[in-house]
Amino acid sequence: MNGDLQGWITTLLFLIIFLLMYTNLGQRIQLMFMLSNLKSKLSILERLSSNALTRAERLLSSRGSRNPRQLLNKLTEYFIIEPVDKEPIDIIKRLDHILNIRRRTYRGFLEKDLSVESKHELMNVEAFVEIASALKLIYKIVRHLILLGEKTGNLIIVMQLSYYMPQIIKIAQAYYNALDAIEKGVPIGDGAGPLVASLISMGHPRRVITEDTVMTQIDIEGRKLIIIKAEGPGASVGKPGEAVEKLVEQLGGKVAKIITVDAAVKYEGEKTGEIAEGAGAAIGDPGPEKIRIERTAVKYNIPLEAIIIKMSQEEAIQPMKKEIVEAAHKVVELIKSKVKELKEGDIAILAGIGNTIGIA
Amino acid sequence: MDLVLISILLILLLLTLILPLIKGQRRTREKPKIITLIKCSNKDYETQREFKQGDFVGKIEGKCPKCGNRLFIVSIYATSPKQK
Repeated sequence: MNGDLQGWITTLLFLIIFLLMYTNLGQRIQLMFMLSNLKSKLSILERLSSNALTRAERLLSSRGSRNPRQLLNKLTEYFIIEPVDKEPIDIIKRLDHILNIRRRTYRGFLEKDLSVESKHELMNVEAFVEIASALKLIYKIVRHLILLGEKTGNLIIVMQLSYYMPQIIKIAQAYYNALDAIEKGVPIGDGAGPLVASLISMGHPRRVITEDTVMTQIDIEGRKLIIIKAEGPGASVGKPGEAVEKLVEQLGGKVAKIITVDAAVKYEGEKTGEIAEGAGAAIGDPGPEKIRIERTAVKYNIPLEAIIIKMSQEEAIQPMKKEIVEAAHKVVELIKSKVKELKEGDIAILAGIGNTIGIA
Repeated sequence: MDLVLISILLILLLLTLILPLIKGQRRTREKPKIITLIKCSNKDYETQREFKQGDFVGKIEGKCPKCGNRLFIVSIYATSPKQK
């Protein structure tokens, strides 16, 4: 009896091994398991997206929107079409134009429907809705890929998505957790650049230089430092490139140094709040702002220096960590020493790049 | 006897696969505490408190109890409950 059973098990095992090796049954089983795992992860994304949308709807309603659902739908479905890149001439101008239209239209929708006390409150609502839109988009893309993989039986799509899924979930969760900070107006990690600019210029008068961007002039031992940052404390990145270009032109190119400070994504294993120096424009915009700084520096042969404060992608959108604040204070001293190295009477420009939520 | 041994081995194998998954799901995210740091422009006084809605870096928070200069919010940051 025992021998019979062992015989059956051995035959069954051989049969299973044969089917797995010489048919695509193995792949089918793998696909089935991966799809089932992906679907359970998709439900997490769906929950995050729908919770974010519900909270956004509530926020819009509390700010006086008559039809928050309709407004939210219009905002989250708003899209831009990138300019033609086969013909690169003036592509930056075209991209800048499209991004400007997008920003103004988006803000226009909100301004028309909401009754908020200040521009900064409106900017925070805008940022909140943008995060909800991002979560909705992540959910829609992942759902599309899962359904496409299931429909076509494409193991490559399903496998790639499976391997990326932990990262996608992590990013989506970070976005969702950022909603609290945005709603309350707490500075986020990406605000490291504006924090440095704010700390250096604290207590000095400011003036608007271009849309959503302010400048301050201070004196450091006989050297002039002009500080540019997005106008806070609302969630905004301003137009630092346009501001630098405008300022350098106004000064006739007589600028000894342009320094950009920004948050940068660290490599795994690096510590949050590490500071690094380099050459170039430290700015992570889609292109129009960065190219303006680069072109201006090249036109007048101005040294272009970059300082970065390192953090993870998640930390950049979470409430600012103590390590980042400490690094910002160190960068303030670093910039002061750099300015002191210049000749007396020289002018330097500092651009604090990033989202200035919670930082004026 | 062989079947019992195989069953035990299979159960142990399953447990080693499942336990790390359960352990991973148990990790809960602690909510960070948001701190507002206030400093005198004369740098002779410093205080901190929990973040209040409406706080922002650069906001004037009254006068310094030591020298009478303006008090500014200089930082707002998150600390995990473990951090001091």
